[in-house]
Amino acid sequence: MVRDGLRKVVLYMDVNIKIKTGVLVIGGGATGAGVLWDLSLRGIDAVLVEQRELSSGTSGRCHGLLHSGGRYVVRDADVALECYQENQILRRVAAAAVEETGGFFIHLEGDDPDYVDKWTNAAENAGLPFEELDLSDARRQEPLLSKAARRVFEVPDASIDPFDLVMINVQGAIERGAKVLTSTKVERLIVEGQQVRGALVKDIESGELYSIEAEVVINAAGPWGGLVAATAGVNLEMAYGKGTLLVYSQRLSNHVLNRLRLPGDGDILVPAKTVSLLGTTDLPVPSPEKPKPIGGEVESLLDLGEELVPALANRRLLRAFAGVRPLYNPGQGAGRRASRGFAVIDHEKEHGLSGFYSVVGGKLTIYRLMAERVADLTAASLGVSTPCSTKDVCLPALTEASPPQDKGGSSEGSHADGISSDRGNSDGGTLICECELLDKDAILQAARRLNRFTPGAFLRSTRLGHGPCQGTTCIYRAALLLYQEKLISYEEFQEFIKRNLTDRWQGIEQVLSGDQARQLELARGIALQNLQLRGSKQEFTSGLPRESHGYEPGSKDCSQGGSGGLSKALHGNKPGSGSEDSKQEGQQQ
Amino acid sequence: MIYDVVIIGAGLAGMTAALKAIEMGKKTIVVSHGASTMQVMSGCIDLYGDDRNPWPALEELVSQNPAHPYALLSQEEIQEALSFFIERMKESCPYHNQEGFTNFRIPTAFGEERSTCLLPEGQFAGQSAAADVKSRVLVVGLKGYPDFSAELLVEGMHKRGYQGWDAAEVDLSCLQMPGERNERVKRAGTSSRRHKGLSANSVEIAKRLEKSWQHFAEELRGMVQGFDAVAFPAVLGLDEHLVVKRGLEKYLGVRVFEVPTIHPSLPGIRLARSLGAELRESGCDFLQGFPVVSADIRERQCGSIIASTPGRPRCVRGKNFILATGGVLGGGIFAERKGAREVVFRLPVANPGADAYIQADPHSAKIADLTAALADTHSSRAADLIATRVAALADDAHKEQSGTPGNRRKADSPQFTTSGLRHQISISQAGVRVNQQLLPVDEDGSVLLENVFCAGRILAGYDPFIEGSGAGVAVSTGYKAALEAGRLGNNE
Repeated sequence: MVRDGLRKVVLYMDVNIKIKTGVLVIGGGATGAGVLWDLSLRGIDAVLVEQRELSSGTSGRCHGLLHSGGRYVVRDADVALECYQENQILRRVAAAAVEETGGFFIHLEGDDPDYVDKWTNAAENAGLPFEELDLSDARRQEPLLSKAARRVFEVPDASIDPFDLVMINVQGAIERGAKVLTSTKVERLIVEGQQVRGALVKDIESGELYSIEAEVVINAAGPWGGLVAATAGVNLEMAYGKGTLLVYSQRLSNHVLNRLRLPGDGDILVPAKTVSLLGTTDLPVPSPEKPKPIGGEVESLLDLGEELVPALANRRLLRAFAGVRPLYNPGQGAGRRASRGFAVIDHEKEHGLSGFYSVVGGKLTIYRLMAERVADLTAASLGVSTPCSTKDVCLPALTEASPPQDKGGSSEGSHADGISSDRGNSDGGTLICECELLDKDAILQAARRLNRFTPGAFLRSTRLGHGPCQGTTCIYRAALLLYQEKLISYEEFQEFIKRNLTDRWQGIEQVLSGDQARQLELARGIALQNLQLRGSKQEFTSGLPRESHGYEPGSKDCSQGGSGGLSKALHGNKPGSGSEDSKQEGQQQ
Repeated sequence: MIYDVVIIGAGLAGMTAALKAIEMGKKTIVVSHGASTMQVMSGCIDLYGDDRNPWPALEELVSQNPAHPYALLSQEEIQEALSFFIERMKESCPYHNQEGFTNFRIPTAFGEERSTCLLPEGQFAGQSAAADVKSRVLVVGLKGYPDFSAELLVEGMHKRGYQGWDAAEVDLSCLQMPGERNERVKRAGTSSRRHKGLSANSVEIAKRLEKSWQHFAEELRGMVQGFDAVAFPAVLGLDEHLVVKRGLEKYLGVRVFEVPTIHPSLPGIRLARSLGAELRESGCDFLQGFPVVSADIRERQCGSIIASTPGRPRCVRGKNFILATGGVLGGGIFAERKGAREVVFRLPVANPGADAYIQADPHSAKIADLTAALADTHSSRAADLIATRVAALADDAHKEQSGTPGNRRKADSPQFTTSGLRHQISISQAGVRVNQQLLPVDEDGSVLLENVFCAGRILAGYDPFIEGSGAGVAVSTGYKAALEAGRLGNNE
């Protein structure tokens, strides 16, 4: 067996070593991005690999709630306090991604009245600030609140955009010399003797296998962390809890609304940008792949949500989606009872494997703390004495990619501000998405900013197709634009539309009623009748195109075997890319 | 006043029915709420499927699926309806057909091929261009119009061997804004800002072309040398489409055709407007812009419908009624969390394609119990009662299917998962079941209303988008509904 192991090592080391770095960070969610930022501030050379796109896992599939700690204070005062402290830090350093909405904890008639006392006592003991509001005052601030509300407490909850959060962490790190590789999947950790030396990775688009050599490997793969560790023969006891959320087409509250009772399903409503998110459920699932909302969950969420905000019953539901919580609870299993705390595992201590750390469990609100702890250990092992400074150094504001032909100088602001001022004589102001007010320039900026162009990453970074029409108009328009700018080929054009429409439609399926049902019929009519989307009739009849062939992590959003052209068009540094385009030079920078 | 025929819905089915009813000498009114779904569709009258000759496939469909709306008509009746439609539209919105109503093949916006049975004049030259692989066609895109790409269409045609196709782009700034005077008067920036600012929408471009297509033709004149035909996105005029299209052909000396894109879709809007104009000229009455909210029903006879107009509800009395309010998209069927309802008569909604999306199909007896109450109140109270029962049934069914919240808390099991798009298809087959006379029936086939005929998308059991059958079903069932209503009127 030992010999076998050795032979394997030799075999892997034969594979082209393409990159040598100090630290290899696995996982492009909030934790991984936070680790990368932390390391870059300490001057440690690091590379991040992500199997799909940034925030495509748990980070991008949550409420986007920056907890005040109130939700956990009764069961786990330590986690609650961590949440509160991080909340205060992130408001300061990650202001670009945080919206200071404030939050209400609401006790409804019929809920356990003893819990209110338990909660206030626990919050006082833990030192969490809260203030009871006069009911009429609370109603004035939140007119849609249920008439059954009996007591309301204000807490410093906030709304945080996880996509922006990850993006600014990564952007800050890249500015300091870090590298990020998306669509790059870890096939196996490279173990030499008792030391992890890096990883064998696969470029999902080209299929190329190569190795990344690193002094330290940090496993921040969230729910996939167990799978990563397993490739080095380490067993992490992970459990997976699926949470389903519903998206409403408008902001229905000013504050984050929490139900004041034992944490359960459907008791949080978060206003986020132009929408509201209601969640969540908690179902144990066997794997982190393909979390999907199911009928029963949606029904239960709707019922529970309406208890808190009755007006939800006749508001337009855009879609449902689900994420998977990574729970690390040796011997306990999943569920609400599982601790939402995190652990940093030094595999040298635990499993005799040096140069390898895993950071598991936790939640979005404390991502920075998780990153700090693992970066502390890493720095110590590398002999770097610079302390963590992510508490104090502000993350950069999200900037727009500036291709050379962009004449307006550097324009600041989030990607959401679609219509920009003066575009001279160009038709850059042509509106592509009328729901999110994205114009041609904004779309192209977003496409060029991506490290790897995949339709999924593209849509997430633009919010295209995320408005009420769910892509009926804008996905076709965006595809035309990308085609004309030669970012996608003729073959990829229809694939792009089909993938994105089916992806949007999947989210609508569980909330199919009222206007959204109509919208879906309209979208089907346009795609199938007016445009005659190729192959669609057969595929759409026999079920989902995506499921007609085997699902592969990483293939989620890129067309099977088709995206080479996408990345080629955007990666000037890759051989075979066209040379006619000055945009590509912009991409390299 | 009592109308011979009251038509609810101004879509393709309702308007065709109105044309036929008027022709039969019936006093007719069309009551409608919003703009019809014609306005987003391509304007082609698709019959069924992609075959060159759709009729054998249609025959097979009907034999395999006797609940399909096409099973309500013979092939002769369908062809009679199509002929009638062409005949009545030949002045204002001319359509072409092939011998025996076989399918045309025309290019799509992706440069692929599609089939359709009746082609509006604006798209007609597309079929000869697509019929000859050696054809020389210039595809013209419009700068600032984001819904069409000439390059895409041309690349698609090239891939299919049509090497003679070429792409060009024309700047819209050569066009005048509606309201602008003929001699291009400079007005402080208004139009020029428009040209380079926000995107132009197809209707706006169409209106501008009506105003100044000659300027447009001027720009094109040098480009079209050596081409047999010129293709445009479907923006060549609205009410004066034929003037623009024929004018361009004459001026440029080549055939001109349009390729439909997304909504708002000019070919569909033109058809809707032409139908309306045709009917007005023939003396049809209209009550537009108001939803029909209830009906007066006694002993399975509808005496009047109530339209919700501002101020006071308007009662429209009639001998016969045609229900052509459309499906989920048109608004005739409203999908709710726990079921779906037919919005005018609260007829039971059947859903033959349903698997995961549970539709309640309450027994007719319950409806019959409540018709008296409906007649008394004209109101929603009885309807609410029905709706509640529908909801209760749906609820039970849903619990059976997906488990109660109590046992929900377990790992995902396959019974919960549904495949997304079949799901949607299941809702799009939802509709009202009818008998051979197009009268609404319950599950056992008993007639629920004896003088209400259903036509178009309100009918259960088909998916127009998957089948390519929407307009064909609308025209033929609309035509037949008028025949049936007229026949009933004559017998009395």
